[in-house]
Amino acid sequence: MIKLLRRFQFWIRQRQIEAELAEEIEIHRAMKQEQLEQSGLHSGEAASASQRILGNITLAREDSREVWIWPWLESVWQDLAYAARNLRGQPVFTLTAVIVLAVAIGLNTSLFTVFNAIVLRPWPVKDPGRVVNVFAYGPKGISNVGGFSIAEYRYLDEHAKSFGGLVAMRRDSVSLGFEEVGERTGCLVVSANYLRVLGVEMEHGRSFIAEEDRFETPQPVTVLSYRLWKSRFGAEPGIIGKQVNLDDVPFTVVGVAARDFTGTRVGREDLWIPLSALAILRSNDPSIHRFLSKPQECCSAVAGRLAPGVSREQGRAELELLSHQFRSQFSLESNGILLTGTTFFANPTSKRAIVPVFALMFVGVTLILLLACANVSNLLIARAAARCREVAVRLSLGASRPRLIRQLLTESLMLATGASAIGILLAYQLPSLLLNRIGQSALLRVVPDASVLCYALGLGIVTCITFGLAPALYGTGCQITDALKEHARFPHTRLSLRSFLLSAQVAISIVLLIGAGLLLRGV
Amino acid sequence: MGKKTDSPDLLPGTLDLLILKTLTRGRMHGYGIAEHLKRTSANVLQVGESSLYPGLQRLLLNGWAKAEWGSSDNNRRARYYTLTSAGRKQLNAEREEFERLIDAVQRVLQTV
Repeated sequence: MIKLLRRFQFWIRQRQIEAELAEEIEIHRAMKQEQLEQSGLHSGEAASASQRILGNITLAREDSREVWIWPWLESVWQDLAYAARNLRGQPVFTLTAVIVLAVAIGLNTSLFTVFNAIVLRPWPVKDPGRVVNVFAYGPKGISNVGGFSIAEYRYLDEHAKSFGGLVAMRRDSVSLGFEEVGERTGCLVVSANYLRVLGVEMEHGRSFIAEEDRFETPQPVTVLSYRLWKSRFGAEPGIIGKQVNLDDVPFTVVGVAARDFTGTRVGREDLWIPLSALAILRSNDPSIHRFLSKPQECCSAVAGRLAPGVSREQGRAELELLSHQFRSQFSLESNGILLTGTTFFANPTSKRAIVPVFALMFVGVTLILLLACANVSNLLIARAAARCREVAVRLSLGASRPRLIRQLLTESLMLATGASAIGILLAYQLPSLLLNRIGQSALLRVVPDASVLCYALGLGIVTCITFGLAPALYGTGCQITDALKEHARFPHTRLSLRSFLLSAQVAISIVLLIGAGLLLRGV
Repeated sequence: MGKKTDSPDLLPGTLDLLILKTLTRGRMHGYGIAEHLKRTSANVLQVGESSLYPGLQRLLLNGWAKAEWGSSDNNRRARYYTLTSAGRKQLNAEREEFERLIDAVQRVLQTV
């Protein structure tokens, strides 16, 4: 075991260790040369003589490397070949185990894919690391965060030096006029600099200009998302300058955002209009006027891009000061400011809403995975009982028990890796298939990325240990003398282990059934 | 382990045994070990003194010796090897094994 650790250490520090060895041999040669010179040789002759005495240095270095790597690699290779042969020899078992595990791992990975897409990914904007969400919190503390009035936002945007720009946004929805009755398209009401500050490229046309977001002179203009442009307007290239009806009010399309920009809100965000255009869109709603001008009105979400070289803390301090200045003019209580990243998870309000949901779902799929592990474990134990003789023969021929356990685990790892591979394929298909089924295909871009792959592989390894270790320990624990006898009987520990696994399976199944039942009734 | 790494004139594993024995004299660097081997045996390291190093690496891998950099008598940087207690145990075991082997060979050779 310690040896394995040393080998691993070598593997990590290989370059350094090899350099040290080379240096060491060179020192040896230099000492030799010195000695030869002292005994009266020319320095040139001494150098070549010392070379000769040391012999084939390259070979020595290669042999040294082999000492560390080769035997281990060789035995791993042996294990793999043996495991593959064994699994091929029992195709039914292999297929069953891989399918059971693949379904479980696939479900888990699919859920993680969705989780990753919704929760862990920052906004799809340029240099997302510099973009922050800005929240205000009152005396109730940091757990109770909110947004800003439009008036306060304008003040902050105008005065803040530590930001490349601040943007305000408010979620809304409109009817495009040609949809089925009741269907509404998600729309984000934004400050004019929204697309520019976030660094969103335009597919066609332009983003908003400052003149289009003046409170006194509102303009009915809109920018469409690539998705909406494609699905509702047939990707018509001449859309720029055309009129579309938003809630029966004609708006002019000035641009189409780039394909990659799927919005800053999880869910539908299909078109953008300037803040002041709300006054046109909702012309007979008196609260709009208040919303756009009164400092007491609440609340719009605000985000910003930090200026180069400015830290979050500096940005936060400046905003807190500016907010205090602004609010004291209107004798409002001053607020604390909180800056967070743009992943869903970093946002305190959405975090509170989403974490329990995902936790519940993860518990569910983990239970399914455990169930699969218990099943495969049972299969392996049955097989281990059948292989007791083989193991006994190997033990009596001098194989060590850890070595045999490693070998059995290699087999498990092979099963798990195969299952992980299929699981990843599932994760590529399943989430979008499900979202399609519930008619929300356009909702999210759920594409597995590197972190999903890592998750699936990690899951495979954990799974392998979960289902493989107990059977491996059990399978190598049989009594040699008993097992070698003709009518070998299996050690009776088997019964307790198998019955434990069985009862675990029953227990998990019941929990899952009850959970599913409750969920169905809830829906 | 260690199939072709030893000098062809040595029994497999013998080089490790010789290095272990040499290290019982105390902390030594590669050059010192090579010199000692040369002095005490007539040129064991026949294919070249560098063939000592795979053996030393094997000792490190098995935890039979420790290595650390230090400076030699004439202030030259050198890597010193010290025997560990596991190394001492291994030396005794290998020595016994070796003596048994030689004994057996001798006996075979002496019986007609």
